[in-house]
Amino acid sequence: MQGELIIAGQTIISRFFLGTGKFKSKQELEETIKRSGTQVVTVALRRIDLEQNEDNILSYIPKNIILMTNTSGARNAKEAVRIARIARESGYGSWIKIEVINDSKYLLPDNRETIKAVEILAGEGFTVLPYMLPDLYAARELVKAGAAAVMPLGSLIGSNQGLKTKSLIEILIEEIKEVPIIVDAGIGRPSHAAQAMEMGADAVLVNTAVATASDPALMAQAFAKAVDAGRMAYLSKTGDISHVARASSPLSGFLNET
Amino acid sequence: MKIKINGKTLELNEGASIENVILSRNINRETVVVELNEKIIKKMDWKAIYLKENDAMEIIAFVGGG
Repeated sequence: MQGELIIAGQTIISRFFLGTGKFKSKQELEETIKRSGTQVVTVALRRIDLEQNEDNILSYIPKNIILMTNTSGARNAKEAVRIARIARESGYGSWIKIEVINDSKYLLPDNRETIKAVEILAGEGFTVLPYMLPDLYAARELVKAGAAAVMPLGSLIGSNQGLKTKSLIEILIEEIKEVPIIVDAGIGRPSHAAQAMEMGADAVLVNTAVATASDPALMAQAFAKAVDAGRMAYLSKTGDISHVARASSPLSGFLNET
Repeated sequence: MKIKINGKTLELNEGASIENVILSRNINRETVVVELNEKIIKKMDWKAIYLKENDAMEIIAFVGGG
């Protein structure tokens, strides 16, 4: 998609989305959000700790930030739907990242259950952004079911492996034009984010690589710049790749010509 | 009476409402969502719903997540 990034009628300027998990402190999270310029962050829902009164994470996230509640913990569509409805009841529920995972080793999303969850929740008026294993047929089903974007994984959550699914994501970018494609999971370095944007992704979502950096706010700024750089490169159309050299300086008027 | 809160079985006085449970534990009512027996209970109804033996309550809040 050229031009602006628009999701559920909202124009998003920063194509760098941030996950809020794993930060060492809420203050660090707040600083990171501010310095990165991110406009969309993900949060999760959990049972409160009855013994301790935890600081409310929402008070560390500026009011103008779009909150996207993930359905982490959901092992099937029914559980994802329950979590989304709880998010809605809290008053922050319109954007939902559908995350349906029932393996703890690879944390791979269940595309089939994800499609079911999208059908139900899109039907209830939620803005749904499903996290998925890049598969063209599943992506088409997600769009048909009412997804506001499609979020294919780059590699395993938290692995920092980068774009292991690069060629599959390229297919989605080429074939899915109705909604934005947001690469989510496994992006470990700003260069991975730049690569995703150069390929034509509409945005990226990063959590671990920022939250576990020794200077998260600085790393988030790096990611934001990388996303901008990749986007600009995509818009100015990167050159083709040649298997032989193609001279950069003129091929005539050499000083040693006879 | 015995009820479950967030999976833990606890003893509560008879006649406790959801509102009572939230206030007595100093829970920030602005930021939590309550489910009772798998049904979401709107904040405005907390005062009027009284807990019964074997009820299962979930008190849920936002946390960091990817």
